[in-house]
Order: sequence, then structure tokens, then C-alpha cells
Amino acid sequence: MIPDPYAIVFEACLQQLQTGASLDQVLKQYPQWAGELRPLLSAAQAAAGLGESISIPANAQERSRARFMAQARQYNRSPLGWFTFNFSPLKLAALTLILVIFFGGVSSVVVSAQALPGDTLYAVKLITEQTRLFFTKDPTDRLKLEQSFDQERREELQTLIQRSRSTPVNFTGGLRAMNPGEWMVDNVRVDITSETQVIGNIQVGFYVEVQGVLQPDGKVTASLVRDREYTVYGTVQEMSAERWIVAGIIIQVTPQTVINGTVLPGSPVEVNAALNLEGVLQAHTVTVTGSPLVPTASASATPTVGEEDHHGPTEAPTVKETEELGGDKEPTATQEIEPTQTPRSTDDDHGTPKPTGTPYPSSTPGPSKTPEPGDDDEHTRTPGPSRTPQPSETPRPTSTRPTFTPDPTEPPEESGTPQPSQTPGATPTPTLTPTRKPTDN
Amino acid sequence: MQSDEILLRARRLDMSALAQIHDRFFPEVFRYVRYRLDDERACEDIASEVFLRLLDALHKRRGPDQNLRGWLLGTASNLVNDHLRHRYQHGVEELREDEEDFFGQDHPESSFVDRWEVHQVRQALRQLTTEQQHVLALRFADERSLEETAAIMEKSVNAVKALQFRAIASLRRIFEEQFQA
Repeated sequence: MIPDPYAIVFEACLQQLQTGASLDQVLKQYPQWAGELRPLLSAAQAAAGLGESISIPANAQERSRARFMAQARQYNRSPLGWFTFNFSPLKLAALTLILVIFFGGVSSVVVSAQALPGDTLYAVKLITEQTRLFFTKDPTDRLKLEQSFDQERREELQTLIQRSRSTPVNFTGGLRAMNPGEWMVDNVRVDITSETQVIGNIQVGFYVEVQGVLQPDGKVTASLVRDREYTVYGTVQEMSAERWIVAGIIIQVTPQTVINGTVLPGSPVEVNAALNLEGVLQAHTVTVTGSPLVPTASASATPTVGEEDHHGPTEAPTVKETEELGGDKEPTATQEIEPTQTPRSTDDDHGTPKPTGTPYPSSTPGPSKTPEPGDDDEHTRTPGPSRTPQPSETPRPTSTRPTFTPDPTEPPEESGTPQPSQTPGATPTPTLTPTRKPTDN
Repeated sequence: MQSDEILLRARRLDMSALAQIHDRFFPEVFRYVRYRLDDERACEDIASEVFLRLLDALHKRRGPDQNLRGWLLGTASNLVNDHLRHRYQHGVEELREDEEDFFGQDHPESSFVDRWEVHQVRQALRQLTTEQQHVLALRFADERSLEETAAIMEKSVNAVKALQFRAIASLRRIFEEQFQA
């Protein structure tokens, strides 16, 4: 496309303005164009001035980053790689129905329970498991279920090894040794090559997830190894220096644990934790997902844990009898919140929640968003209305505003558009001169 | 570190690469959105949503293979367009800057008059075509060069030059109409 000559001259002038030249200085170089260029460049200055006026609100980036990384952890945690499901119940039910019909009925689901990786019905087996997991909301039951599926993967692997089959596998096991080029995961030798992706803080003594290909000799050539993370959603019931109880599950908190937000007894949290061979969950991250439930009883101890304090309060309340992971005991009444401590209500965030913490439509990102048609191209798809933030949902500010505030209307109507406060002849609002900032890339 | 390398790692959902992408591009995306919308809170939500979309795409083994910036800003543009369309269809009035107190900022750096002028310019901007708004936002909010803008929009430099010229000419005409009204 050949641009209009005006466009070429205009761009040259614009670049000079952006380096700090005044409008008059620029126009002097093009006297024959000055009449046409002046109003255009004035409009361009107004457009540039709009860009100059932008500032990024404090903590906006941190808030977005926390949301983004929490979602990334959620995706990263998936033990099944490409077999990850973020389906709505309706979609999941529909998919299950289709599979059942396609594979010949409920008997297929039953038969698929014996399927091994590489078998036709193995996909049905995995989907059935994921469906069960999806509908299991109790944190303890969910963990048990996840562990039982991990155990199932290990048993499948042993069967495949006995049959000397070579097939892609995905399993979770305890990391026993990390020798150069070969790790031991349970009793399986895992080849670590230059092609192997190792993700996360892998440590001997913890469970890891391995994706790779089982060789006929019984070794697995790993394409990916990462720490197996489990997620616990629930309320913080008790907090001591190193152990917290969340939804009746004991969580070990270490100095390396990243804590997002201020955690109090009663705070709803999401915990991402690794499981060690003793069956103890060690928290990688703890993210506060809402305001704490306020206990009715008062107490002198008011532990708080924030970004700076990864250990929790030093005064350790007594840990009630709770269920260790992998234990046989059922959750008891003592797993419920014991309101022995009162959250501190001071100048901290949790004492007086800011408006920004509550009404965000995108505070529940990812899986909850409305499925879009044309998923093949995320670049062009448009978001569903349900994801679009609603100005009407936002709290109205309480501060006073000038009584002379004009009342603008929405585009494209212009009739109600008020007059700007200045009248610079034919070229309004060219008051700001942009200066180009250094750019990266 | 090059964007391509970061993107390659991000496609494997490498947490460090993802964090780098967010840290590097969030300001650009936010500025782009803010250039086009008055409602600061909606801007923050939309900017955040852009990155969640990226994550979702990467997780589904889709998303950009290259030109990450173009993908992010293109997605931001789509979200802004949809936001405006939704608002217009439902007759929802956008919060003006003078009403935006939700971040507890009093905008001490700018007077009400300045903010009102900014609001007026933004109102005029929204009467342009979406493509014209897109090019001005890239040029003036993110301060992208013509070449960078062309790469992001996947157009030639001359096409961007012409598009920008038409956008400014339209903006000038809208200003004149506003003053004559």
C-alpha cells in the first residue's frame, strides 16, 4: 500500500514531535503543508497526551501476577499432561455420555478399569477417573482419590513391565535416588537425558510425576519429571510454627513456603504441596482465597502470617488429632474449626478489606470462564459476556466529586458530549507534547 | 533472554518463563487497555484476563508460536472491543475517571480539568474504527514504532502509516464536531 503523501510528511512531523520538538518548529520545515498539518498534528498531540496520562495502579501488576501464577500452578499440577480437564459439569457429563455411547455402553467403563496405557479403552479409564475426581469436593476424599489413582498408575506400570511392553507412560512415584543419568522412582529405573524436562524443586524423598516411554527392558526414558503437587482447598483450622491444619489435613510449612496474602485461623486458602515418602504434605505455596471466617470466641493469641513471615506464629496452639495423609482414620469432629483465636483487626489488609479484593469478576479465572466458540484460535475469539467486567458491579466511590462535572454519554452519540473546557480554535486539546520513552525489544 | 526462548519455555508451562512473560508484558497490556477505556478497574481485569487467556492457550498446546506481544495485544484489543460492545448493548455507563476512587488514589498529579480533557479525548477515540483505535493505542500508549506496530498488526509499515494518518484525521474531525456542537 502506498500511503498518501500527507501521511508520509505527517509521520515525519510526528516523529519530530515525539523527540521533543515544538509544533511551530516542525511546521516551519513544511510551510507549504502547515495549514493542513497543524490541526492534524494537534489532534495527534492530544492522542499522544492520552498515552502520557496513563499510570498503572499500585499493586495491579502484583494482583494480576498472583492470579496468573496460581492458575499456572493449577495447570502445571495436572498429572496427566494433555489429559487435563477444565470442563464444566455439563461438558464433562456430555463427554462421558458420548464416550459411553461410542464405546458401547456402561460395560465399557467397567471393562476399561482393567485397561493399560496403549489400550483402546485406556482413555475411558482416565476420563472416568477424572469425572470421579471432578465431583469429589471434600478435600480429604479428594486427596485419597488422587493417591489411589497414582497407585493405579504404578500398578499399571508394573503390569506393563511384566509384559515387556513399550508404550508411553505417565506415573507418580517416590524418588529414591538421583544418580547421574538415572533416577530411581520407586523401583523403576528412569533414564534422565538431555531431552528430559525437569520442572520444580525435585528432591529425593518426595513424590514425583514422570512422563516418558517405557522400554522393553523395564526402564522408562523420561521426557518430563516434576514434583507431584497436590492441592488442598479449605479453611485454616490451626496454625503452629511448622504445621498447619487445613480442612482437617496436616500441612507442613517451611521457610521455603511461599505465602500469598495474610493467613489467619479461619482463612480460606489454596495450598499446593508436595508429598514426601512419610505421607506428609509439605506446602510449596499457600494462597489466601478470601476473607477469614471470624470466630466468635476471643483469645489472646492472634497469629498472623504474611509474606515476610513464612513460619507462622511461634506460639503453637495444640494440634488436634487429625488425619495424616495415607492414614486410615476418618475425619473426626475435631477437624472442624476451633475458634480459639481471633483474627487481628488492625491496620492490616484483612482487618479492613479493600474494595479491590471483593468484586472482581476475574477473581475466579480460568476454568470458570465461559467456553467460547472457535477455540482453535484464541487470538481472535472474543470473551464471553460473563467474563467481561461490569462497571455496574463495582463499588461506587464515596468521595465527593465536583458539582460541575459534565455528564458524558456513550459513543457513538455525540449530542450529549459536553464541551471541553478550552476552545483552541480548530484544534482542540493539543496541550500535551509527548516524549518518547525508551522501548525494549 | 529472547522472547522466543521464553515463549518456548512458557509453552512447557515453565513457571519461571511464565512469570517473566507476565512481568515483562503486563505494563504494556495494561497501558494499551487503559488507553482505550476510562474504567480503571475494568482495565485491570481485562489486562489480567489477557494473561489468563494466554495460559489457557498454552495449556491447550495452542497460543502463539511467535510474536507473543502481537498475540497479547491482539487479545487485549478483542477483549476491549467485546467490553465496549457489551456495555453499549446493555446501556451500561462506564465509570469516569473522576468517579474512580476504588484504588484509593486521588490522582494528585492531575487536576480534574486535565482528567476531564483526557476523558474527552478517550471518548473521541472510541468513535474511531476498532482498527484505528488499535493503531493509536499501539503508537501512543505503548509507544511502539511504526515497524513494531506493523509487526504486531501483521501489516506493512506503509499500511500502518496510512491507517494511523486516517485515524488522526478522523480524530481531528471529531474534535471539530465536538467544538461546533
